[in-house]
Amino acid sequence: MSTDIRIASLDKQFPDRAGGAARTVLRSFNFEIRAGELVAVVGPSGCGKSTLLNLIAGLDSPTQGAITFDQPFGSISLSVVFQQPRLLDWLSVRENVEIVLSGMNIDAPTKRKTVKSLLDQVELPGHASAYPQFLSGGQRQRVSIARAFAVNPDVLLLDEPFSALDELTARRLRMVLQSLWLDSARQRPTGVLVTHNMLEAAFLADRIVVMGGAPAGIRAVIEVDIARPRCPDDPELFEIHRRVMTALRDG
Amino acid sequence: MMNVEELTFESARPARASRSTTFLPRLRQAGRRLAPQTLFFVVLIAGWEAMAHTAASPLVPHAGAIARELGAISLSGFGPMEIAITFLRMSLGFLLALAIALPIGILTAVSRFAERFFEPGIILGLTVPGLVWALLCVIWFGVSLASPVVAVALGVLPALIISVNQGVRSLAHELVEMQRVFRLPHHVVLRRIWLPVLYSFIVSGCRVGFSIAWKVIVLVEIFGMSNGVGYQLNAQFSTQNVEGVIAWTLSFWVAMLLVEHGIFQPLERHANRWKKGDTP
Repeated sequence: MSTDIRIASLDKQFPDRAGGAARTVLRSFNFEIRAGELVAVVGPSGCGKSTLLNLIAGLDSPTQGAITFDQPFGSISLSVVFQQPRLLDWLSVRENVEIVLSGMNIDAPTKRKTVKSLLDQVELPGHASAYPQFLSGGQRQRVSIARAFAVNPDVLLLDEPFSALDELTARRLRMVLQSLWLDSARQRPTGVLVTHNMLEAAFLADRIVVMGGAPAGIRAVIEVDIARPRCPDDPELFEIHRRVMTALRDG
Repeated sequence: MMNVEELTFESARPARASRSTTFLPRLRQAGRRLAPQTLFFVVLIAGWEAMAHTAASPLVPHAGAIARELGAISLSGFGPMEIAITFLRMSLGFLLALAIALPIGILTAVSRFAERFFEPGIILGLTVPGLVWALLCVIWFGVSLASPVVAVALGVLPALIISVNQGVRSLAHELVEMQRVFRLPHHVVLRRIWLPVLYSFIVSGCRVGFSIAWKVIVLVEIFGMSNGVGYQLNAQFSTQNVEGVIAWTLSFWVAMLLVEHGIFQPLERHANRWKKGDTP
């Protein structure tokens, strides 16, 4: 079941390796993400966006404060689409998606059906037996997206998922992501998207959090009130883009 | 930046050509591949013959005499049987070493404490000559199967631990994060991530290990066994049959070449089947 994500009084410091003063990346950070919404986090490089995502994913621990969910963290189904696909090169495309289902109580035919359906949805139906190194960068990221949705996640974290791709491929993958997001066959997860691309944020998100400063804080929260499915050339997206840029500049 | 994604989804594997159109090129390719090895054998035999001719001594027998001895050993079936006995002992020792090296190699890669704990032992293992393990095992276990198996295991263990350790360390931090995020069960992580990563490291570790194992087993068989290639080498030495010593050594060399081409190279190809540049 998708869940609210409550970030309360969050501090994150990184110790200085040279023995100097610790670097504070996030200080007294408060924000609440509603169940089933997709929030995009934008801001300059090094402002703590990826740190925030790692904290939500449980890959790092806060120095102070807490991130809480509706259920205990251990019982939440969580998925991440990383900037690099992070596939297991020695497993086939099918096995790469199937492996994340191995901890779940699902019988083999259902697993096969789930994987096949997702590979169809990410438009890789003929590549189930291929090894990742034989795929293009965009195709590998499609596998990574299929893997993320395979566990029917309560929380989906997207860490600059299309930034390593050329714009044409990235645009097609955003459409794939949108259609998976809107697919009524599965629950809509609570999503957090970290991105440098303001148009991408406007295209995919319900709200855009503009971060800035050091330590980082919230500069603005912009509602994206555009009906889905969205078109990447919708003029309203450019208006949102302009507002985000203004918030970043003013911040 | 990655390339523009292909617009059509073609099969990742090239279409297989018909048998008749590939036979001759394949034959030529095989000839080209075998040419350097063939040249090595020609140079070796010619050099040896020149040496035997110059020395004109029974201590440096002619290639023909060695070949006759080798033929007699091989055709009687006695040689292959003795080699099989030696291989069985080596393989058992090797498997024992592998069973111990896997957990220790993984532990030393993931735990700083374990790394420091096992470090003196690994250095000890690398330092002690195979001869010492052979002598000690013959003293401890006598003429039983345990002697060669334990001696080989002790001799090979450090090299295998280092291979496993390097394999685990090669596992990228990014993949460790991925397995944590998706909460993959431990047995799945071990079977689908660690063992495949370790596989290619273990195959190359096995190569080195097998050559170490041979150097240990031959000593154990000389000191404490009543059969095997090491025993036969010693028997030929006792009767001052130089052709016999060389022929038994060569027979084992041939056996090792068969293992290399029949086991290790196919295993290596299998281990690397998913690598783009390594696909035939």
